[in-house]
Amino acid sequence: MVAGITFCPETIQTAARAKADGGILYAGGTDIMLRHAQSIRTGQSVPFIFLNAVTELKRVVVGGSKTRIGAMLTMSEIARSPDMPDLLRRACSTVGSPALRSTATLGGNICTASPAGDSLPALYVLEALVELRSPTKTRLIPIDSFISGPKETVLATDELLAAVIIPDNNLKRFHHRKVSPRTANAITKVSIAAAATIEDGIMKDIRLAFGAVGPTVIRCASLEEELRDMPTEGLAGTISYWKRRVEKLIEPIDDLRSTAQYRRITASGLFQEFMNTITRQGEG
Amino acid sequence: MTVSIPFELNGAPVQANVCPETRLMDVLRDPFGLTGTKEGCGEGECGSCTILLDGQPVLSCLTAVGAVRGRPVTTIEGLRSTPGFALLSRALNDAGAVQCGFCTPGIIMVAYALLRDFPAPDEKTIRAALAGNLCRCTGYNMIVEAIALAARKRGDAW
Repeated sequence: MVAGITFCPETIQTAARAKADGGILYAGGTDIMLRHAQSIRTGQSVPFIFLNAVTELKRVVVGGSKTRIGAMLTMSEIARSPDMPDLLRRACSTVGSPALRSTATLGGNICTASPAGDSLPALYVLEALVELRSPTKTRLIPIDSFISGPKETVLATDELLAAVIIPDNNLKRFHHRKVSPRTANAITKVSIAAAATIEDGIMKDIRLAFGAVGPTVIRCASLEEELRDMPTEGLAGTISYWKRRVEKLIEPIDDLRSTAQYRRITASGLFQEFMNTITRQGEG
Repeated sequence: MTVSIPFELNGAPVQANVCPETRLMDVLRDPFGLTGTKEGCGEGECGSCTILLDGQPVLSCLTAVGAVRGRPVTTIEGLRSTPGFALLSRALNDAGAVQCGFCTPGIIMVAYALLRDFPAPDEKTIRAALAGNLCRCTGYNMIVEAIALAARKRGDAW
């Protein structure tokens, strides 16, 4: 631990250097204040590096076929911003409670990389990339490469997650649902984020991801492949087949919050709800 | 490592000489002696510790004091002389919405910000705003009525 670590940096460079010197990045703080509660209580915490003065991390840029979201944007800011993809707004509005969403950040949610992280299934469906900055270099990697396991990312010891990049897409329909015991302050038991485009009765495009049913978000690429270009008319009749496919693709476990069996049944039910919703609404 | 952290507390410039990692809730209660902000769970689940940071409801048990450097913090004590507080405390009383009172300061912080931003919130909006505040005594209905009552009587309180 280095005495006098800059704890209130104003640039990404300074923040990344302070992290390399041994500090812990503090974005919204809502996860690390719990993780380090014990050492904070005894006054022995590793120094925090507070990011709220790094204005570059709050920037949003829309254009050039993408939306670039600064990592320090809070869940509240995203939920109410018309510049954000609707799917992401919906996902971020399910985090915690209103007061928690005022401070919790998108970058923090991604770096915590909980298997139940609420922004994550939406980010996988939107095929988001993360911009990682060290004092000397920048790299851009897809979110499903960034998160490598439960609560694990490939963030280097001198890197910070500066922004989330969401490429534009042509998808027409978006769907999201979080299943949890209460509508607030409840960790997700299972969630779905999905998108599709239906044209002339054909499923032109589909993206499907589930949260809290695996070590990381499960993007059902093989199922998407099967469903793409299928006529939607026959899907209701064969829904049991597709539900069994979902159940085989996910990897839920029994844990504190739920059981594998519940998660399996509910995930395939969420998929059925998604299919019913988009096929009932007709074209688009 | 103790450092001096300047911020604004209930409208006045102050300084906390603490480790920046210290929970804001603990700094408010002691050394500043503002015990209206309560620790109900210490985990961000109950809302009893809610304060306003930059005017927005925030959980002080999950906020390190270093994060509020240079920013305005308002506690329940800071609302005491406002017309909005007078309206809300009267409405909570009239609606029978206070029993042990432990959750009440956190609820008032949320309700104050809600009525400041939404002149006529419907029941769904009130309940959504209160989603992070737990009450073990009242069953919530009187609290929701109290906020609706305060909204109807708001006049020019905000």
